[in-house]
Amino acid sequence: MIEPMSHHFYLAFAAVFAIGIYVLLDSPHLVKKVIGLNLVQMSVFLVFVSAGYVDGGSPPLFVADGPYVNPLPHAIVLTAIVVGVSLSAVALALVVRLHTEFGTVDVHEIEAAIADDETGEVNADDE
Amino acid sequence: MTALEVALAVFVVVTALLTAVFRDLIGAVTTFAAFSLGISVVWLLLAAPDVALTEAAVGAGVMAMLLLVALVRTAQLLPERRSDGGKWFRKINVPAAAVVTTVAVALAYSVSFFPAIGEPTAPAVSSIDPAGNPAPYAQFVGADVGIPNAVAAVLVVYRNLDTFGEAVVAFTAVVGVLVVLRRNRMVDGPRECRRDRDHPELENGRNQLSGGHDTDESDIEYPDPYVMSPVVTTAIRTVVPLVFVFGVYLTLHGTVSPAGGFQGGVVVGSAFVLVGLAFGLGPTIDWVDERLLVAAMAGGVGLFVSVAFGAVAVTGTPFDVLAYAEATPLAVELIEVGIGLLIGGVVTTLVVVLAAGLKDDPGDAGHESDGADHGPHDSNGPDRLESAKKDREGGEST
Repeated sequence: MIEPMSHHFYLAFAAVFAIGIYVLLDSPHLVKKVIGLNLVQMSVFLVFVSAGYVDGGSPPLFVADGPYVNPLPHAIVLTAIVVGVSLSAVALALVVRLHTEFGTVDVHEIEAAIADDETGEVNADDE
Repeated sequence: MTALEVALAVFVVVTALLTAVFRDLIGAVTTFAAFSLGISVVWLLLAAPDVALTEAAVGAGVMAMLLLVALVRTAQLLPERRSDGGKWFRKINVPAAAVVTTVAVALAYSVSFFPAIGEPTAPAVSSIDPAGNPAPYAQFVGADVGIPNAVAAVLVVYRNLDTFGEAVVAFTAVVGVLVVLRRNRMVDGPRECRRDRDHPELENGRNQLSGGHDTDESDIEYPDPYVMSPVVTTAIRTVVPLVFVFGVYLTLHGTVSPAGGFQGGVVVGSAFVLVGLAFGLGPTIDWVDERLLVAAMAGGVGLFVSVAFGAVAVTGTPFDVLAYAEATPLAVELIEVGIGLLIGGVVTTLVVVLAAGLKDDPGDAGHESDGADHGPHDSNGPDRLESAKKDREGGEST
Protein backbone atom coordinates (compact mmCIF):
# COMPACT_ATOMS: atom_id res chain seq x y z
CA MET A 1 0.00 0.00 0.00
CA ILE A 2 1.61 3.24 -1.14
CA GLU A 3 1.11 6.15 1.24
CA PRO A 4 1.99 9.34 -0.65
CA MET A 5 1.55 11.54 2.42
CA SER A 6 4.24 9.92 4.56
CA HIS A 7 6.56 8.81 1.74
CA HIS A 8 6.51 11.92 -0.44
CA PHE A 9 10.29 12.26 -0.80
CA TYR A 10 10.68 8.53 -1.44
CA LEU A 11 8.13 8.77 -4.24
CA ALA A 12 9.93 11.84 -5.58
CA PHE A 13 13.07 9.68 -5.55
CA ALA A 14 11.35 7.00 -7.66
CA ALA A 15 10.12 9.60 -10.16
CA VAL A 16 13.41 11.52 -10.47
CA PHE A 17 15.44 8.31 -10.69
CA ALA A 18 13.22 7.10 -13.55
CA ILE A 19 13.41 10.49 -15.29
CA GLY A 20 17.19 10.38 -15.06
CA ILE A 21 17.26 6.91 -16.62
CA TYR A 22 14.86 8.15 -19.31
CA VAL A 23 17.24 10.98 -20.22
CA LEU A 24 20.12 8.49 -20.42
CA LEU A 25 18.12 6.22 -22.73
CA ASP A 26 16.37 8.84 -24.83
CA SER A 27 18.68 11.73 -25.59
CA PRO A 28 21.53 11.13 -28.03
CA HIS A 29 23.07 14.39 -26.82
CA LEU A 30 26.05 13.67 -24.56
CA VAL A 31 25.68 16.80 -22.39
CA LYS A 32 22.05 15.81 -21.83
CA LYS A 33 23.24 12.38 -20.71
CA VAL A 34 25.50 13.98 -18.10
CA ILE A 35 22.45 15.86 -16.79
CA GLY A 36 20.58 12.54 -16.65
CA LEU A 37 23.35 10.97 -14.57
CA ASN A 38 23.18 13.90 -12.18
CA LEU A 39 19.40 13.48 -11.80
CA VAL A 40 19.87 9.80 -10.88
CA GLN A 41 22.57 10.75 -8.39
CA MET A 42 20.48 13.45 -6.71
CA SER A 43 17.49 11.12 -6.38
CA VAL A 44 19.61 8.59 -4.46
CA PHE A 45 20.82 11.35 -2.12
CA LEU A 46 17.18 12.17 -1.47
CA VAL A 47 16.59 8.65 -0.10
CA PHE A 48 19.68 8.80 2.11
CA VAL A 49 18.86 12.09 3.78
CA SER A 50 15.12 11.35 4.06
CA ALA A 51 15.88 8.07 5.82
CA GLY A 52 17.92 9.86 8.49
CA TYR A 53 15.23 12.40 9.27
CA VAL A 54 13.25 12.42 12.53
CA ASP A 55 10.01 14.34 12.96
CA GLY A 56 10.77 17.64 14.63
CA GLY A 57 14.48 16.85 14.58
CA SER A 58 17.17 19.53 14.87
CA PRO A 59 20.24 19.61 12.66
CA PRO A 60 23.00 17.40 14.13
CA LEU A 61 24.62 20.34 15.85
CA PHE A 62 24.63 19.73 19.55
CA VAL A 63 23.82 23.17 20.81
CA ALA A 64 20.06 23.00 20.38
CA ASP A 65 17.71 20.56 22.10
CA GLY A 66 17.09 17.11 20.65
CA PRO A 67 15.93 15.01 19.01
CA TYR A 68 18.58 15.25 16.34
CA VAL A 69 18.51 13.80 12.86
CA ASN A 70 21.08 11.15 11.93
CA PRO A 71 24.31 12.89 10.86
CA LEU A 72 25.71 9.91 8.91
CA PRO A 73 23.71 10.44 5.68
CA HIS A 74 24.62 14.14 5.76
CA ALA A 75 28.31 13.30 5.92
CA ILE A 76 28.23 10.91 2.98
CA VAL A 77 25.92 13.06 0.83
CA LEU A 78 28.04 16.14 1.47
CA THR A 79 31.18 14.52 0.11
CA ALA A 80 29.28 12.69 -2.63
CA ILE A 81 27.93 15.98 -4.01
CA VAL A 82 31.44 17.38 -4.32
CA VAL A 83 32.81 14.16 -5.80
CA GLY A 84 29.81 14.03 -8.15
CA VAL A 85 30.47 17.47 -9.56
CA SER A 86 34.15 16.58 -10.04
CA LEU A 87 33.24 13.43 -11.95
CA SER A 88 30.68 15.33 -14.03
CA ALA A 89 33.45 17.75 -14.96
CA VAL A 90 35.58 14.82 -16.17
CA ALA A 91 32.61 13.54 -18.19
CA LEU A 92 32.09 16.98 -19.74
CA ALA A 93 35.81 17.23 -20.53
CA LEU A 94 35.49 13.91 -22.38
CA VAL A 95 32.48 15.32 -24.25
CA VAL A 96 34.49 18.40 -25.26
CA ARG A 97 37.33 16.13 -26.37
CA LEU A 98 34.94 13.97 -28.42
CA HIS A 99 33.60 17.12 -30.04
CA THR A 100 37.16 18.11 -30.93
CA GLU A 101 37.64 14.71 -32.53
CA PHE A 102 34.30 14.21 -34.28
CA GLY A 103 32.74 17.66 -34.54
CA THR A 104 29.52 16.47 -32.92
CA VAL A 105 28.17 15.50 -29.50
CA ASP A 106 25.48 13.21 -30.90
CA VAL A 107 26.20 9.56 -30.03
CA HIS A 108 24.63 8.29 -33.25
CA GLU A 109 26.82 10.52 -35.39
CA ILE A 110 29.91 9.54 -33.39
CA GLU A 111 29.08 5.85 -33.78
CA ALA A 112 28.56 6.35 -37.51
CA ALA A 113 31.93 8.10 -37.77
CA ILE A 114 33.64 5.24 -35.92
CA ALA A 115 31.90 2.72 -38.19
CA ASP A 116 33.20 4.68 -41.18
CA ASP A 117 36.72 4.38 -39.86
CA GLU A 118 36.38 0.65 -39.35
CA THR A 119 34.99 -0.08 -42.79
CA GLY A 120 37.07 2.56 -44.53
CA GLU A 121 34.03 3.69 -46.48
CA VAL A 122 32.36 7.06 -46.64
CA ASN A 123 28.98 6.83 -44.98
CA ALA A 124 26.43 8.54 -47.18
CA ASP A 125 23.91 8.72 -44.32
CA ASP A 126 26.14 10.97 -42.26
CA GLU A 127 24.35 14.30 -42.53
CA MET B 1 5.07 16.22 6.67
CA THR B 2 3.83 19.61 5.67
CA ALA B 3 2.17 21.09 2.62
CA LEU B 4 5.47 22.82 1.85
CA GLU B 5 7.29 19.50 1.72
CA VAL B 6 4.74 18.00 -0.66
CA ALA B 7 4.87 21.12 -2.82
CA LEU B 8 8.67 20.82 -2.97
CA ALA B 9 8.50 17.13 -3.85
CA VAL B 10 6.18 18.04 -6.73
CA PHE B 11 8.48 20.91 -7.71
CA VAL B 12 11.60 18.74 -7.99
CA VAL B 13 9.76 16.10 -10.00
CA VAL B 14 8.32 18.70 -12.39
CA THR B 15 11.67 20.45 -12.92
CA ALA B 16 13.36 17.07 -13.49
CA LEU B 17 10.67 16.23 -16.05
CA LEU B 18 11.13 19.58 -17.84
CA THR B 19 14.89 19.00 -17.88
CA ALA B 20 14.26 15.69 -19.60
CA VAL B 21 11.84 16.90 -22.28
CA PHE B 22 13.10 20.38 -23.20
CA ARG B 23 14.60 20.53 -26.67
CA ASP B 24 16.34 23.77 -25.82
CA LEU B 25 19.63 22.85 -24.11
CA ILE B 26 20.02 26.13 -22.26
CA GLY B 27 16.47 25.61 -21.03
CA ALA B 28 17.35 22.11 -19.85
CA VAL B 29 20.38 23.40 -17.94
CA THR B 30 18.27 26.17 -16.38
CA THR B 31 15.55 23.80 -15.22
CA PHE B 32 18.27 21.48 -13.89
CA ALA B 33 19.61 24.40 -11.82
CA ALA B 34 16.06 25.05 -10.58
CA PHE B 35 15.83 21.35 -9.68
CA SER B 36 19.04 21.65 -7.66
CA LEU B 37 17.73 24.72 -5.89
CA GLY B 38 14.51 22.85 -5.03
CA ILE B 39 16.55 19.92 -3.70
CA SER B 40 18.66 22.24 -1.57
CA VAL B 41 15.48 23.62 0.06
CA VAL B 42 14.46 19.99 0.65
CA TRP B 43 17.77 19.43 2.49
CA LEU B 44 16.97 22.46 4.63
CA LEU B 45 13.55 21.04 5.55
CA LEU B 46 15.16 17.68 6.35
CA ALA B 47 17.39 19.45 8.92
CA ALA B 48 20.54 19.16 6.80
CA PRO B 49 21.67 22.79 6.45
CA ASP B 50 25.26 21.84 5.61
CA VAL B 51 24.13 19.66 2.71
CA ALA B 52 21.79 22.44 1.60
CA LEU B 53 24.69 24.92 1.46
CA THR B 54 26.81 22.56 -0.61
CA GLU B 55 23.96 21.72 -2.94
CA ALA B 56 23.03 25.38 -3.50
CA ALA B 57 26.62 26.29 -4.37
CA VAL B 58 27.42 23.14 -6.38
CA GLY B 59 24.17 22.11 -8.04
CA ALA B 60 22.63 25.44 -8.83
CA GLY B 61 25.92 27.29 -9.36
CA VAL B 62 29.01 25.32 -10.32
CA MET B 63 27.28 22.40 -12.07
CA ALA B 64 25.10 24.69 -14.20
CA MET B 65 28.21 26.68 -15.08
CA LEU B 66 30.10 23.52 -16.09
CA LEU B 67 27.21 22.41 -18.30
CA LEU B 68 26.93 25.83 -19.96
CA VAL B 69 30.69 25.93 -20.53
CA ALA B 70 30.55 22.47 -22.12
CA LEU B 71 27.70 23.61 -24.38
CA VAL B 72 29.66 26.69 -25.45
CA ARG B 73 32.84 24.70 -26.05
CA THR B 74 30.94 22.25 -28.25
CA ALA B 75 28.93 24.98 -30.01
CA GLN B 76 25.63 23.43 -28.92
CA LEU B 77 23.72 26.57 -28.00
CA LEU B 78 20.97 25.86 -30.50
CA PRO B 79 18.10 23.57 -29.51
CA GLU B 80 18.31 19.90 -30.31
CA ARG B 81 17.24 18.97 -33.81
CA ARG B 82 13.71 19.83 -34.84
CA SER B 83 13.11 16.32 -36.15
CA ASP B 84 13.22 15.11 -32.56
CA GLY B 85 9.97 16.80 -31.59
CA GLY B 86 7.87 19.94 -31.53
CA LYS B 87 8.84 23.53 -30.93
CA TRP B 88 9.51 23.24 -27.20
CA PHE B 89 9.67 19.60 -26.24
CA ARG B 90 11.36 16.48 -27.44
CA LYS B 91 9.30 13.71 -28.93
CA ILE B 92 8.38 11.11 -26.30
CA ASN B 93 10.51 8.03 -26.78
CA VAL B 94 7.86 5.36 -26.20
CA PRO B 95 10.07 2.29 -25.56
CA ALA B 96 12.31 4.24 -23.17
CA ALA B 97 9.25 5.72 -21.44
CA ALA B 98 7.76 2.25 -21.02
CA VAL B 99 10.97 0.91 -19.49
CA VAL B 100 11.41 3.77 -17.05
CA THR B 101 7.73 3.73 -16.07
CA THR B 102 8.20 0.10 -15.07
CA VAL B 103 11.30 1.09 -13.10
CA ALA B 104 9.44 3.95 -11.42
CA VAL B 105 6.49 1.76 -10.44
CA ALA B 106 8.79 -0.93 -9.06
CA LEU B 107 10.76 1.63 -7.05
CA ALA B 108 7.60 3.33 -5.76
CA TYR B 109 6.26 -0.06 -4.68
CA SER B 110 9.55 -0.87 -2.91
CA VAL B 111 9.81 2.41 -1.04
CA SER B 112 6.25 2.02 0.21
CA PHE B 113 7.63 -0.64 2.56
CA PHE B 114 10.05 1.86 4.09
CA PRO B 115 9.07 3.35 7.44
CA ALA B 116 7.41 6.74 7.08
CA ILE B 117 9.79 9.70 6.74
CA GLY B 118 10.47 11.13 10.19
CA GLU B 119 9.22 8.04 12.04
CA PRO B 120 11.27 7.96 15.30
CA THR B 121 11.24 4.13 15.35
CA ALA B 122 12.71 3.82 11.84
CA PRO B 123 15.86 1.63 11.91
CA ALA B 124 17.96 4.31 10.21
CA VAL B 125 17.27 6.58 13.17
CA SER B 126 16.69 4.34 16.19
CA SER B 127 19.23 1.57 15.59
CA ILE B 128 22.21 3.85 16.04
CA ASP B 129 21.47 3.89 19.75
CA PRO B 130 20.20 0.61 21.26
CA ALA B 131 19.27 2.37 24.50
CA GLY B 132 16.72 4.45 22.62
CA ASN B 133 18.43 7.70 23.46
CA PRO B 134 17.03 10.39 21.18
CA ALA B 135 20.44 11.98 20.59
CA PRO B 136 23.08 9.22 20.73
CA TYR B 137 25.67 11.20 18.81
CA ALA B 138 25.41 14.10 21.24
CA GLN B 139 27.07 12.10 23.99
CA PHE B 140 30.05 10.58 22.30
CA VAL B 141 30.76 13.35 19.81
CA GLY B 142 30.80 15.84 22.65
CA ALA B 143 32.89 13.60 24.91
CA ASP B 144 35.33 12.29 22.26
CA VAL B 145 35.88 15.18 19.92
CA GLY B 146 34.72 18.15 21.91
CA ILE B 147 32.94 19.89 19.02
CA PRO B 148 29.20 20.28 18.60
CA ASN B 149 29.00 19.65 14.82
CA ALA B 150 28.41 15.92 14.42
CA VAL B 151 28.73 15.99 10.62
CA ALA B 152 32.20 17.53 10.86
CA ALA B 153 33.10 14.99 13.55
CA VAL B 154 32.02 12.09 11.33
CA LEU B 155 33.81 13.50 8.27
CA VAL B 156 37.07 14.55 9.86
CA VAL B 157 37.46 12.24 12.87
CA TYR B 158 35.55 8.95 12.59
CA ARG B 159 35.60 8.53 8.81
CA ASN B 160 38.59 10.65 7.90
CA LEU B 161 40.19 7.99 5.72
CA ASP B 162 37.02 8.00 3.56
CA THR B 163 37.09 11.77 3.46
CA PHE B 164 40.72 11.72 2.43
CA GLY B 165 39.84 9.27 -0.33
CA GLU B 166 37.10 11.57 -1.55
CA ALA B 167 39.46 14.54 -1.53
CA VAL B 168 41.86 12.47 -3.62
CA VAL B 169 39.06 11.64 -6.05
CA ALA B 170 38.28 15.34 -6.46
CA PHE B 171 41.95 16.07 -7.08
CA THR B 172 42.17 13.17 -9.54
CA ALA B 173 39.22 14.66 -11.41
CA VAL B 174 41.26 17.83 -11.97
CA VAL B 175 44.18 15.77 -13.25
CA GLY B 176 41.76 13.85 -15.48
CA VAL B 177 40.27 17.00 -16.99
CA LEU B 178 43.75 18.37 -17.63
CA VAL B 179 44.90 15.16 -19.28
CA VAL B 180 41.78 14.81 -21.43
CA LEU B 181 41.82 18.39 -22.64
CA ARG B 182 45.57 18.77 -23.12
CA ARG B 183 46.15 15.47 -24.84
CA ASN B 184 45.10 17.19 -28.00
CA ARG B 185 48.23 19.29 -27.98
CA MET B 186 50.72 17.13 -26.13
CA VAL B 187 50.12 13.81 -27.83
CA ASP B 188 48.28 14.41 -31.04
CA GLY B 189 49.23 17.94 -31.88
CA PRO B 190 46.65 20.25 -33.39
CA ARG B 191 44.13 18.34 -35.43
CA GLU B 192 41.30 19.36 -37.61
CA CYS B 193 37.95 18.15 -36.49
CA ARG B 194 36.64 15.30 -38.52
CA ARG B 195 33.42 16.91 -39.64
CA ASP B 196 35.27 19.97 -40.88
CA ARG B 197 37.55 17.72 -42.89
CA ASP B 198 34.61 15.92 -44.45
CA HIS B 199 32.30 18.92 -44.70
CA PRO B 200 34.33 22.13 -44.91
CA GLU B 201 31.17 24.03 -45.80
CA LEU B 202 29.86 23.56 -42.24
CA GLU B 203 32.78 25.25 -40.65
CA ASN B 204 31.70 28.87 -40.66
CA GLY B 205 28.24 28.46 -39.23
CA ARG B 206 29.36 26.13 -36.52
CA ASN B 207 32.21 28.24 -35.26
CA GLN B 208 30.38 31.51 -34.88
CA LEU B 209 28.94 30.46 -31.56
CA SER B 210 32.13 29.21 -30.00
CA GLY B 211 33.89 32.36 -31.06
CA GLY B 212 37.54 32.91 -31.73
CA HIS B 213 38.25 29.44 -33.08
CA ASP B 214 38.63 30.71 -36.59
CA THR B 215 41.52 32.93 -35.55
CA ASP B 216 45.02 31.66 -36.07
CA GLU B 217 46.33 29.67 -33.14
CA SER B 218 49.35 31.86 -32.50
CA ASP B 219 47.47 35.05 -31.75
CA ILE B 220 44.49 33.66 -29.85
CA GLU B 221 44.79 33.42 -26.11
CA TYR B 222 41.27 32.66 -24.91
CA PRO B 223 38.44 30.84 -26.67
CA ASP B 224 35.89 33.52 -25.98
CA PRO B 225 36.89 36.95 -24.74
CA TYR B 226 33.69 38.86 -24.35
CA VAL B 227 32.27 41.99 -22.83
CA MET B 228 29.53 41.56 -20.27
CA SER B 229 26.78 44.05 -19.48
CA PRO B 230 27.79 46.66 -16.84
CA VAL B 231 24.80 45.56 -14.76
CA VAL B 232 26.29 42.10 -14.40
CA THR B 233 29.86 43.25 -13.82
CA THR B 234 28.80 45.78 -11.18
CA ALA B 235 26.60 43.25 -9.40
CA ILE B 236 29.40 40.67 -9.43
CA ARG B 237 32.00 43.19 -8.25
CA THR B 238 29.74 43.92 -5.28
CA VAL B 239 28.76 40.36 -4.44
CA VAL B 240 32.00 38.44 -5.00
CA PRO B 241 33.94 39.79 -1.99
CA LEU B 242 31.01 38.90 0.25
CA VAL B 243 30.70 35.42 -1.25
CA PHE B 244 34.44 34.88 -0.82
CA VAL B 245 34.43 36.01 2.82
CA PHE B 246 31.36 33.85 3.49
CA GLY B 247 33.23 30.85 2.08
CA VAL B 248 36.24 31.52 4.32
CA TYR B 249 33.89 31.93 7.29
CA LEU B 250 32.21 28.60 6.54
CA THR B 251 35.59 26.87 6.33
CA LEU B 252 36.78 28.27 9.65
CA HIS B 253 33.52 27.70 11.52
CA GLY B 254 33.14 24.03 10.61
CA THR B 255 33.41 22.81 14.18
CA VAL B 256 30.73 24.95 15.79
CA SER B 257 28.19 25.61 13.03
CA PRO B 258 26.71 23.62 10.14
CA ALA B 259 29.64 24.34 7.86
CA GLY B 260 33.09 23.02 7.02
CA GLY B 261 35.73 22.65 4.38
CA PHE B 262 33.51 21.15 1.70
CA GLN B 263 30.88 23.88 1.99
CA GLY B 264 33.41 26.69 2.35
CA GLY B 265 35.48 25.33 -0.53
CA VAL B 266 32.61 25.22 -2.99
CA VAL B 267 31.43 28.69 -1.96
CA VAL B 268 34.94 30.13 -2.46
CA GLY B 269 35.15 28.29 -5.79
CA SER B 270 31.81 29.69 -6.90
CA ALA B 271 33.09 33.21 -6.10
CA PHE B 272 35.86 32.70 -8.67
CA VAL B 273 33.34 31.21 -11.10
CA LEU B 274 31.25 34.38 -10.74
CA VAL B 275 34.32 36.50 -11.55
CA GLY B 276 34.87 34.33 -14.61
CA LEU B 277 31.26 34.80 -15.64
CA ALA B 278 31.62 38.58 -15.61
CA PHE B 279 35.12 39.08 -16.93
CA GLY B 280 35.78 35.97 -19.01
CA LEU B 281 37.23 32.74 -17.68
CA GLY B 282 40.49 33.09 -19.62
CA PRO B 283 41.44 36.44 -18.05
CA THR B 284 40.29 35.07 -14.69
CA ILE B 285 42.86 32.27 -14.74
CA ASP B 286 45.53 34.87 -15.45
CA TRP B 287 44.27 37.03 -12.62
CA VAL B 288 44.08 34.18 -10.10
CA ASP B 289 47.30 32.63 -11.44
CA GLU B 290 47.19 28.91 -12.01
CA ARG B 291 50.20 28.43 -9.73
CA LEU B 292 48.10 29.76 -6.86
CA LEU B 293 45.40 27.18 -7.64
CA VAL B 294 47.95 24.36 -7.72
CA ALA B 295 49.46 25.68 -4.48
CA ALA B 296 46.00 25.75 -2.84
CA MET B 297 45.26 22.18 -3.86
CA ALA B 298 48.69 20.83 -2.90
CA GLY B 299 48.70 22.83 0.35
CA GLY B 300 45.23 21.55 1.23
CA VAL B 301 46.19 17.92 0.72
CA GLY B 302 49.49 18.54 2.53
CA LEU B 303 47.72 20.03 5.54
CA PHE B 304 45.28 17.11 5.70
CA VAL B 305 48.08 14.54 5.40
CA SER B 306 50.36 16.22 7.92
CA VAL B 307 47.63 16.45 10.55
CA ALA B 308 46.55 12.85 9.86
CA PHE B 309 50.10 11.49 10.05
CA GLY B 310 51.05 13.80 12.90
CA ALA B 311 48.94 11.43 15.00
CA VAL B 312 51.60 8.78 14.43
CA ALA B 313 53.89 10.72 16.76
CA VAL B 314 51.30 10.49 19.55
CA THR B 315 49.77 7.01 19.34
CA GLY B 316 51.51 5.42 16.39
CA THR B 317 48.27 5.21 14.39
CA PRO B 318 47.88 7.38 11.30
CA PHE B 319 44.52 9.15 10.77
CA ASP B 320 43.73 8.79 14.48
CA VAL B 321 42.77 12.40 15.04
CA LEU B 322 41.41 11.65 18.50
CA ALA B 323 45.04 11.08 19.58
CA TYR B 324 45.46 14.84 19.88
CA ALA B 325 43.29 14.78 23.07
CA GLU B 326 42.41 18.36 24.05
CA ALA B 327 43.89 19.68 20.81
CA THR B 328 41.48 17.58 18.73
CA PRO B 329 39.16 20.51 17.89
CA LEU B 330 42.19 22.40 16.61
CA ALA B 331 43.26 19.40 14.51
CA VAL B 332 39.72 19.16 13.11
CA GLU B 333 39.80 22.84 12.19
CA LEU B 334 43.18 22.45 10.47
CA ILE B 335 41.86 19.53 8.42
CA GLU B 336 38.76 21.57 7.53
CA VAL B 337 41.00 24.37 6.30
CA GLY B 338 42.94 21.82 4.24
CA ILE B 339 39.73 20.46 2.71
CA GLY B 340 38.53 24.02 2.04
CA LEU B 341 41.75 24.91 0.20
CA LEU B 342 41.63 21.71 -1.83
CA ILE B 343 37.94 21.89 -2.77
CA GLY B 344 38.10 25.63 -3.54
CA GLY B 345 41.05 24.98 -5.84
CA VAL B 346 39.39 21.96 -7.44
CA VAL B 347 36.10 23.75 -8.18
CA THR B 348 37.82 26.82 -9.61
CA THR B 349 40.25 24.77 -11.69
CA LEU B 350 37.57 22.48 -13.10
CA VAL B 351 35.41 25.32 -14.39
CA VAL B 352 38.29 27.44 -15.66
CA VAL B 353 40.15 24.60 -17.36
CA LEU B 354 37.00 23.26 -18.98
CA ALA B 355 36.23 26.72 -20.29
CA ALA B 356 39.55 28.21 -21.25
CA GLY B 357 42.39 25.74 -20.83
CA LEU B 358 45.51 26.80 -18.99
CA LYS B 359 47.58 29.77 -20.02
CA ASP B 360 50.20 27.86 -21.98
CA ASP B 361 47.54 25.69 -23.58
CA PRO B 362 45.31 27.41 -26.10
CA GLY B 363 42.60 24.82 -25.50
CA ASP B 364 41.68 22.99 -28.64
CA ALA B 365 41.95 26.13 -30.71
CA GLY B 366 44.44 24.36 -32.91
CA HIS B 367 42.05 21.75 -34.18
CA GLU B 368 40.83 23.87 -37.04
CA SER B 369 43.80 26.14 -37.53
CA ASP B 370 44.24 26.68 -41.21
CA GLY B 371 42.47 23.84 -42.94
CA ALA B 372 45.77 22.26 -43.91
CA ASP B 373 45.86 18.51 -44.32
CA HIS B 374 47.11 17.00 -41.08
CA GLY B 375 47.46 13.54 -42.50
CA PRO B 376 45.16 10.54 -42.15
CA HIS B 377 43.26 10.02 -38.94
CA ASP B 378 44.87 6.72 -38.06
CA SER B 379 48.48 7.70 -38.48
CA ASN B 380 50.56 6.70 -35.49
CA GLY B 381 51.65 9.02 -32.69
CA PRO B 382 55.15 10.23 -33.55
CA ASP B 383 54.33 10.86 -37.20
CA ARG B 384 51.30 12.83 -36.23
CA LEU B 385 53.26 14.87 -33.71
CA GLU B 386 55.92 15.56 -36.31
CA SER B 387 53.44 16.69 -38.94
CA ALA B 388 51.59 18.74 -36.34
CA LYS B 389 54.78 20.52 -35.38
CA LYS B 390 55.51 21.23 -39.00
CA ASP B 391 52.01 22.59 -39.48
CA ARG B 392 52.31 24.88 -36.53
CA GLU B 393 55.67 26.26 -37.60
CA GLY B 394 54.24 26.81 -41.07
CA GLY B 395 51.22 28.53 -39.58
CA GLU B 396 53.30 30.91 -37.52
CA SER B 397 55.60 31.93 -40.35
CA THR B 398 52.75 32.91 -42.65
